[in-house]
Amino acid sequence: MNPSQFRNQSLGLQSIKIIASNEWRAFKHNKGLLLSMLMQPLITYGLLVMSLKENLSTVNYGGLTIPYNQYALTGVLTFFMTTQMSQAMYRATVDKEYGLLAIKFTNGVQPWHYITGMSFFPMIGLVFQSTILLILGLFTGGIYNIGLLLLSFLILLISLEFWSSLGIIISTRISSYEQRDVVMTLLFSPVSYAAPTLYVFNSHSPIIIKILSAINPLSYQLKAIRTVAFGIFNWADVLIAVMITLLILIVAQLILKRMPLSLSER
Amino acid sequence: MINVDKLTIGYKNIIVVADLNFELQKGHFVALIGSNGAGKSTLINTLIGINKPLKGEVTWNIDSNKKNIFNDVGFNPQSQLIDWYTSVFDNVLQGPLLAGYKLGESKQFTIDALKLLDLYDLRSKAVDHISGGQQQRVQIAREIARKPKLYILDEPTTGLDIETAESLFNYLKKEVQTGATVLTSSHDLTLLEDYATQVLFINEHEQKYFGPLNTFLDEGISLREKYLKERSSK
Repeated sequence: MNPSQFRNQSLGLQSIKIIASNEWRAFKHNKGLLLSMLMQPLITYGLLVMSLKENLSTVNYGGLTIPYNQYALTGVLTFFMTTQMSQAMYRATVDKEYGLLAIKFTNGVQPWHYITGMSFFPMIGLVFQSTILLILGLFTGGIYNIGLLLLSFLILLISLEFWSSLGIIISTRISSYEQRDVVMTLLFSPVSYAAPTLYVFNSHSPIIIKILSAINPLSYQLKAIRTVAFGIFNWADVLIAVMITLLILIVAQLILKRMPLSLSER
Repeated sequence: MINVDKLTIGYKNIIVVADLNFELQKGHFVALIGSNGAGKSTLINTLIGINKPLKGEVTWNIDSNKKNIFNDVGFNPQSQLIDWYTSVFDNVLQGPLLAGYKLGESKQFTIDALKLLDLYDLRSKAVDHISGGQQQRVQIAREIARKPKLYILDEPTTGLDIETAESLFNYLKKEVQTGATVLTSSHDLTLLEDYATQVLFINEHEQKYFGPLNTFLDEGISLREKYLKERSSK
């Protein structure tokens, strides 16, 4: 057998568990992260949204009149998603830079097993931050309907897979921590703010905002989350969000499958 | 186990070593020797498929019941192969898990390997909180915990103290006696001479020798003396 074929000999679905359990251990080993993750819901919802609520008491969304903080809470949830993408990027960069990715693939971990397993780290972070936000929302009347909000978490997790995959794809193209940090800074703020996260875009919005929003996957994911969270259930919105994730998974699979393997880049 | 036929290795169009021909057989303990930059690491990385051959073929033929043949290999590169986010224990545990072992036996193999490399007391430590030599031991422990049929070790003794290096090679010798195969590069020629059965010597972009150690040393001199003699006669 030619050794270049090793990566095609699949270790099977167990490799998702192997990768995910390693991510769980990495998360547990970095408990300090929890503190920084705790701050984001406190600041964005506890301070920013609750302050804006004093000026914007309600918003009209999908034919409903919703208290501003209930609307914005769903937007804050998606902030966490893009923040957690940075965790996927951190982890994937370590893997690539130190040759762990090459070893995992050579041992038979398939690209989509890897992507799915690596999403576990950001997923735990997202669940943690969402739980904090949920508690804050419960105490401040920020939840439209608890059952629907919990249901919308499914869309949130599906959408997280999109951002994790994107983070992993970007990691394959960067070769230093400096580059990674620049990419993250250039990507995250525009993505989070060029989407109707904390505000409602309408026909009077500036054209540049409309264009950025139209090409921003987060806009469509927000629609899908809100259609469930506010009980509108426009299934086309949900389908679009799911399709976006499937599309990026396919792209990630193709890129990782063809990616040349290398050991430590140091 | 591995057959190398008219293999030329290198990067892009830069030839590092041309026309390599040898066969790694079960039960061999092969010392890969050569100067810095001779192409030892390039060869090792080509053998496992990380580097593509410029010419020629590498063919693996291991009697393996694993899902992936590489699961039966313990590979330690010269570079650092460490997950800096996890502990000593978790780094080692990844080895047997990726080799396809169940969690319970992986944990047991991890404990055994940590004890062998005198790392057990450091098992909960972050890998960036231990010394360079200890990090090297973590990498080796991870490969030992895989219970491989074939060890491919690139400079495994770098950063190790004499006792640990001896202990590692003693372990590898026992593994060879039970049917495993070892290919290892090292600049510690005295240690290699004590344990290796075969020598693969590359120098000046060529394979100078592959065969039994005692034939290589037929003039009754040490491996170190022979190596220096060969190097000076270039």
